[in-house]
Amino acid sequence: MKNFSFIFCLILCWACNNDVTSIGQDLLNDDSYVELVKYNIENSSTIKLDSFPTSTAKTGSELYNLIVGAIKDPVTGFTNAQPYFSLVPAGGDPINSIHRFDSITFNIKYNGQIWGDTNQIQTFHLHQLTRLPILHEQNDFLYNTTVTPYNPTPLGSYQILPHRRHLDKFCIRLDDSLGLELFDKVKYNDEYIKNAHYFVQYFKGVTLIPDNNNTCIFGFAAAADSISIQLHFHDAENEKVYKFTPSIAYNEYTYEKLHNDAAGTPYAALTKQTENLLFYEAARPGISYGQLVTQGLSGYAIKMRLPVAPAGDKYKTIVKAEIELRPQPSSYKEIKLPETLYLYQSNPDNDLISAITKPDGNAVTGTLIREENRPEEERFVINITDYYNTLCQSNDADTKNYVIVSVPADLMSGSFNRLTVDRIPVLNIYYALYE
Amino acid sequence: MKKIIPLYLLCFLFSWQVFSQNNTGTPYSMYGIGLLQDNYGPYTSLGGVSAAMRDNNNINFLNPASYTALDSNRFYFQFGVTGEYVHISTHKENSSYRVAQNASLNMAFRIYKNLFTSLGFNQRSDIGYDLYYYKMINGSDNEYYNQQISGEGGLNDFYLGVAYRFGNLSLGVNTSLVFGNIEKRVNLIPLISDSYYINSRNKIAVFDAIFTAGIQYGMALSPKSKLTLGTAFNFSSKMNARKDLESYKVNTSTQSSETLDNERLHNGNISYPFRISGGFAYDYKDKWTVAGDYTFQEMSSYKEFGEDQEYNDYHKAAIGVSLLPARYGRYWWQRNKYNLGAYAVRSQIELNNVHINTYGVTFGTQMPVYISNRELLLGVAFDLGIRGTEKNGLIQEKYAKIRLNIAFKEGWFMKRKID
Repeated sequence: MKNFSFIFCLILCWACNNDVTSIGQDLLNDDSYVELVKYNIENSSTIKLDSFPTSTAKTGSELYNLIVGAIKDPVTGFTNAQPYFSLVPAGGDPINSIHRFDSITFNIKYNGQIWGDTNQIQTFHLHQLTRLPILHEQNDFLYNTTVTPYNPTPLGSYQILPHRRHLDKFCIRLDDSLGLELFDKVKYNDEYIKNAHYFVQYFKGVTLIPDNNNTCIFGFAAAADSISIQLHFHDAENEKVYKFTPSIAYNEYTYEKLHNDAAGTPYAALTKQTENLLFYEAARPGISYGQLVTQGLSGYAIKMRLPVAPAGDKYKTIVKAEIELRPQPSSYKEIKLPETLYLYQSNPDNDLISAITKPDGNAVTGTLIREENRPEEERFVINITDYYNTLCQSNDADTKNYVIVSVPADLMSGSFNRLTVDRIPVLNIYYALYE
Repeated sequence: MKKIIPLYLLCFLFSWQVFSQNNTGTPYSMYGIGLLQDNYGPYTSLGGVSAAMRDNNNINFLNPASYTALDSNRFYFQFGVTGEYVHISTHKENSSYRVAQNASLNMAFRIYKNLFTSLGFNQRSDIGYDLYYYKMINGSDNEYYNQQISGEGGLNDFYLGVAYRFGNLSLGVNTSLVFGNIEKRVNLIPLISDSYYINSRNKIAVFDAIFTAGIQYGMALSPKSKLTLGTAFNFSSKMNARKDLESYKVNTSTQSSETLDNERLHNGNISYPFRISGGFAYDYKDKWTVAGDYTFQEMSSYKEFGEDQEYNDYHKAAIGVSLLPARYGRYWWQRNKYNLGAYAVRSQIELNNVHINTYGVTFGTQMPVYISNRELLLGVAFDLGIRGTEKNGLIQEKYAKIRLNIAFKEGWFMKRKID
């Protein structure tokens, strides 16, 4: 009996800790696997947004950047950016009878962003508005197309070689008559000075207009401490300053008027937002197959109609879906690529319906994947897995599969960065076959 | 009796443990109902011959007609188990594993005159694999995924058999209640950011009856020699089975999961194909035995829930020879039976255009131990063989098995003539 017990125990210990986990990979017959299927998104085109908001309305938030300048981009043509803003008395040194007026200036703080030829003299004119911008009656926004009249006689003009050391001191000397008018109002503590609302109604605001011959555009901070009209005065001993600056309370009047004229480029064909310029239709010498473009300020975006994945095998599911956009090599040496791309739901009329979001509520975005020493492999990848899974499960997927890839719409007025694509976009679908 | 009951209990617990343990081993067990048993039973050391084998020491549960060879006044109890050490290799790597499997627990006794019965547990098939691979995503040139496939379980049966002897002809039938779970899991983990990984679990539960008939016919060729012919077979049978499939995908970023499938096929079945073994056993002078077997199973008709699994037919040929120097010899070694055998199997599996074959040689002994009013036969069988090939990226397994087979018989039904 003891001997048998011993034998049983020996055998019982026999099976343990087997590790053959990596043997025989070819044995599996690949019944379950992950595969990548690439679909060319043939129905890709460039569209031009008719209008887009360039203000923050009455949301209480503020624009971070404003852009000013004019540029002729070989891809998208001529673009002109004019910022508009209102100002309120911000205070400074008190003015009384012993002070003498010296000058009035307009000052902005360069934010480091610049696009275009910076070796040409640039000319700017500051004009006073003749009325306040009229907010959109439904949403209080101001758009890139909003026209606000201004006095054709500029308050002041300025020429500058747009190098950083000059831009950091951007300052326009304004008409002294305006300076004296404001000086007196401050000196006598006029009702317009005491009440910001009255001042906004009285002064309206200003716009900075670039000369059409300018060759670059640049950005400046939109915060109250970055834009100002300054009264310079002195007493017997000191030079003093009193400032008028933008106020967050009147931020709805700060916006960017933008104009793009694509004459001489394939995009001149786009005269309204409902029109498409297909990828292959944008082919021209030097652009072998075609072209797509999205860019801030000029309002271009990439419209795509996504291929809907076939139903396929029962035990097959999508584990990842992504859109791949390859920037045209060398297209971003002078004008940088956008840092982020957004994906918007669209329709056959090219409307920008809403930003597509992930299950956690954050927007679906595309980021640049850089390949060291292989610039031709650089690409924007937009992960659309959850959106695409939902789309493919929809009964009317074939009518909902319109999307727009664009620089973020709320930053459309804050950057001139551009993505130019010269290869047809690709939809990468990773399938798992698990049964 | 007091000593033997704890031993029965120990055997029962042990065989249950072997049935239920996680025997991770051969990747070849991933196909169908698992790895079919090529060589087991009381005649393992004779190459696994069984069709014509009959004696009064072993319960040959592989052919129910053999029960009539048992002693009429004895109660038989038999326990067997196989331990296996396997060196597993491909053309580029190798490893090893050990498993205990093929446990069987059998009892037999005479019911009435020429009517005998046997009952017990056996393992019909065995699944145990756990494989983890790092593979390139099809269609990609620089992206990979992890593929983990694992499986466990197998089919067992509880059988009740009867046999009747008409002179030299014996007929028998085993009614087997086949039961067991086969669980196969697949995990696919793409090694790409912000994607989903897949967990899939496929469980098949089988519960049905199979009937195995057996025939044996013995004839004396001369006063010193005897020939037995035998066959055992079962017809193709559809076994009721229930298939559960659960699969879901999990977001690698948020860990949120989404159910893909939660299916139960109530009315499915697995076909257990027609199987037949036939053979002979030739005894000379109660000293020499030569036996041969051929087994065929029509695995090409094997289907799971209506889906043809595209297997080949199963073939096995086995031959064995044994020497018993002197059944009642003076010395212990003379009373032992010495066995030698060999077998070749062409399995149902064909991969990459290569048949997965098995070849083995066997040897061993059966040692009788006499205790008062009971006899014990301790069988030790060694089985050395090769399964598969390293060709075409496949696996070759070189195995060494040892099977212990312990058979008791007790005089439960003997009447004392003098009290």
